Amino acid sequence: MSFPISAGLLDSMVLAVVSREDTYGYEITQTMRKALDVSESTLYPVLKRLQKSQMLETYDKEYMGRNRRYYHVTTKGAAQLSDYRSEWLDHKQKVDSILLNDTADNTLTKNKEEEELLPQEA
Amino acid sequence: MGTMKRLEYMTILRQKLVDGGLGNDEINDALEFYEELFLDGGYENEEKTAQNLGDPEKLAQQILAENGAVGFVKPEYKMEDAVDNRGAQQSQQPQPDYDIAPDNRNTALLIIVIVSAIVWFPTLIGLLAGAVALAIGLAAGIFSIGCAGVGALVVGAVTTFQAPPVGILTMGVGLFLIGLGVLLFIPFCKFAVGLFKKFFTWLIGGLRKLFYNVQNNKAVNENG
Repeated sequence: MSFPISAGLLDSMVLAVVSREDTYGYEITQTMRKALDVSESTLYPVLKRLQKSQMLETYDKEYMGRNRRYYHVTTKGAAQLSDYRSEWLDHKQKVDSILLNDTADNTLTKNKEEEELLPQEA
Repeated sequence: MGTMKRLEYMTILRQKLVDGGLGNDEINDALEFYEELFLDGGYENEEKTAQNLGDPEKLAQQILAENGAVGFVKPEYKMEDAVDNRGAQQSQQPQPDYDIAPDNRNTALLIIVIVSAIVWFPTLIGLLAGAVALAIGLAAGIFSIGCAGVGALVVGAVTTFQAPPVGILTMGVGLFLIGLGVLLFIPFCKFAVGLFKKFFTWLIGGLRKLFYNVQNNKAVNENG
């Protein structure tokens, strides 16, 4: 891929994946790999980082006689995710306006639509 | 790396994290995460999962870097990377899980020493007996020089009455031999006794060290 993935983007995407519903390592990596060409190995540090900054918390559940660690977005994490989302929209807008030759008007209407599509925070 | 499976991958990863000086909790946390990926990925996909995860050494480096652990980059790894990767990989065969932990090495060594006593004990006794016999033989040889000297002295003394020149010559030879015997015998005995003393000190010291280490490790393990 020509566009490198930043740590911030990884953080925000992982937060978004977990925010849909509590989930475990393998599922997170599989979901991420649908969108990004990231190695499964990159995601452990991301999850660790998010835990350390108290965006995510974990709990263990038994599955097939072994342990499965589930990740859950904290209130702090949810707030951060919503910040990430508006930051991303802003960033995307600016890039699109040049990369896709979008006119200012087009970008504005598009973004309004997109903003309505954003999941509402509880 | 193509055909690396879960166990092999996890073993290398653990080793590299331990080498990197990461804390036990962090190591277990990381290993649990990757173990889960392998298990959720399915037994039949273990090789694919390992491939997706990439080189376990690089992964370990990443985890260590995230944890702010230092001292992982050892110059010799860099050299190996630069020279020949295949050779490096062969020399870094993963250690199997059942490998003896460092703590238990002395215990294992002790057990090996005791079990193999069937072979080494008779050999040792044989060698010792041989050495003692050699020492006694040499001592006896030297002693007999002295005895011959005494004999020659006596014979010479008697002969002097019948044929003075021959008698004096024989007495001279006798005195020479006595002197030679005394000169050789005492230092040789001292040397031989010293050698045996040294050997036994070394043997007993070695055994004691081994036992001591084992007991020490036990104490450490019980405390830990």
